Amino acid sequence: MTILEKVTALLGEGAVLEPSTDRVPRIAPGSPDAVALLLGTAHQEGWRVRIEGAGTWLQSDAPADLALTTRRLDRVPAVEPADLTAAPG
Amino acid sequence: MSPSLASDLASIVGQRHVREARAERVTYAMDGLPTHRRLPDLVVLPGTREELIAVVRLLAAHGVPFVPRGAGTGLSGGALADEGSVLIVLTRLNRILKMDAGNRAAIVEPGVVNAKLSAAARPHGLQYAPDPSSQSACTIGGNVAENAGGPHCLKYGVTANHVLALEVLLADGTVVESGSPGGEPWGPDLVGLFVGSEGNFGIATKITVRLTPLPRAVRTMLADFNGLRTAGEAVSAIIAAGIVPAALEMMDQSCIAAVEDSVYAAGYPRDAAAVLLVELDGRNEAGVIAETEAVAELLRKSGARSVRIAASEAERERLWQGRKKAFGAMGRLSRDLVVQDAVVPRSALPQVLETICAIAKRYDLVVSNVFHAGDGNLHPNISFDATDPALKQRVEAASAEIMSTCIAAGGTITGEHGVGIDKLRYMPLIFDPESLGAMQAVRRVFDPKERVNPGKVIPVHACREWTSARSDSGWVNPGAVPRGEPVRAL
Repeated sequence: MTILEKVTALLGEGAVLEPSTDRVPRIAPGSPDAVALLLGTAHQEGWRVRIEGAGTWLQSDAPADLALTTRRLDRVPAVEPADLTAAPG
Repeated sequence: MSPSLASDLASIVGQRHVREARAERVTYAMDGLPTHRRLPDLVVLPGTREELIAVVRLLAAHGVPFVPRGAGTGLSGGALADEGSVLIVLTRLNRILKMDAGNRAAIVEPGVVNAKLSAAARPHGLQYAPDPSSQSACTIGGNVAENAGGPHCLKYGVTANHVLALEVLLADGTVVESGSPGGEPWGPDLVGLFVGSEGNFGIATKITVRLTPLPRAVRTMLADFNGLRTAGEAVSAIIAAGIVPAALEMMDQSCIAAVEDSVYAAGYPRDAAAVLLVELDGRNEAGVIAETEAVAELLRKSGARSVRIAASEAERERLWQGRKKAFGAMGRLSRDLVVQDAVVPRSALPQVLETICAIAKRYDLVVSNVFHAGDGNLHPNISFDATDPALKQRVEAASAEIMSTCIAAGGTITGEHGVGIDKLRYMPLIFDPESLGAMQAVRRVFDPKERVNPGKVIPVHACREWTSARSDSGWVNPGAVPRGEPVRAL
């Protein structure tokens, strides 16, 4: 099983994005639990993980087996104006 | 502890800077909180950075634990040394090494007194913004260790926002540099990690701080209220209106009485249930005046009986002196005092204040509140006589109940005083074993033998459990530790 196949089995096809320019599989987990599952698996399998945000950086030369992007972790359900805080959910 | 240690230390710092006699050591048995006492075996006061490094290397060679201490104004027992430990007092390292007005920065030794740094910056139109109420005595090294706050940190941020670079002496005598004077560090943020580490990672030997321009316009006002709840609601009203005052402080009736009976009498109305001290500052008069009027209007709408704007610099200083010396003034109420430091969301203030009052009433205790309302950082002070064991027990029970109230309201156990030994017992209430284990692992990177300030911050009992639960990788195996649900992970 390739890394991509394993990750797809783990998180579903919805979490798999177009590969990055250096052809590393790019995965977008949709919840903190999915992140934990992915990182836990990567730790066991010895995969090198690159963490991405929106991916606006210049092309990376850091070797990686997998890119984990946080772009789907984008909810802001708790805004408290009286406390001047906003919390991610 | 080897008998020759004292003479070896004396050969580094000079005989008069090693304190061995019991009467001399008792001087250092407490910090600002009178409820914890620990007698150090030896006290050493190095006079230069080189002496300090030599002292730490000597202690490392002997494997002796040590505790760094500044002015001893801390409020969590963090600077107390047990038997078997050497107390290293840093107050003689009190030189401002560089005042760099052009780059708005200064390099200081750890024993420089907070207020003296601001006084030295003043001729350059600058200030060191974090202003703990103990600023006339407390030192920058201690401020860094505790990530100290203060009334003006609401607008300007706490110590962590004002430290640019550090030279740190580790437990084994290694000197490490972190951060950059330009304030744009690269690599892991070791400065951020060190600030607030409560002396668990080492001793800051050189501290590069950010200096802030003095505001050109300042207005200070006092509002008084018939109820704690209405005062608490006024705080939320100001913050929710999008105004960030330079400071927003609250004092209750018991605190007002203590201040007004003292030499720090500020003219606070004794019949008020609470007063708010609000300060606004900025770069131009017109803007600050407009914002002052807006806040005065909000205070009146929120139920203030009256709003008084200080008419002169002297009146401003008097209003502030009462607030900053309130903790000292409470010494008039009784021989002992415990103070808590919980933080709650501002919107929870009115309810939490009422609950604290109810708890005090139920335990028949005198609680005085003086705190950073704008930050939601509460300081309930319980006055009592510790020679009465039954009373002491009631104080402890009430303290624990106040703390659980704050945690249940979404708060946390310390805003600025630190964990030290005083709040060790509360740590498992807000951090699960995995999080405490991560803190422990980080500490061991800097101090593998846990020789600097041992027994502080992370509960020892729990640590023993983790040690036995440690997996081969050196990391905690979560499955082997009973997992408590954190009330709130930070």
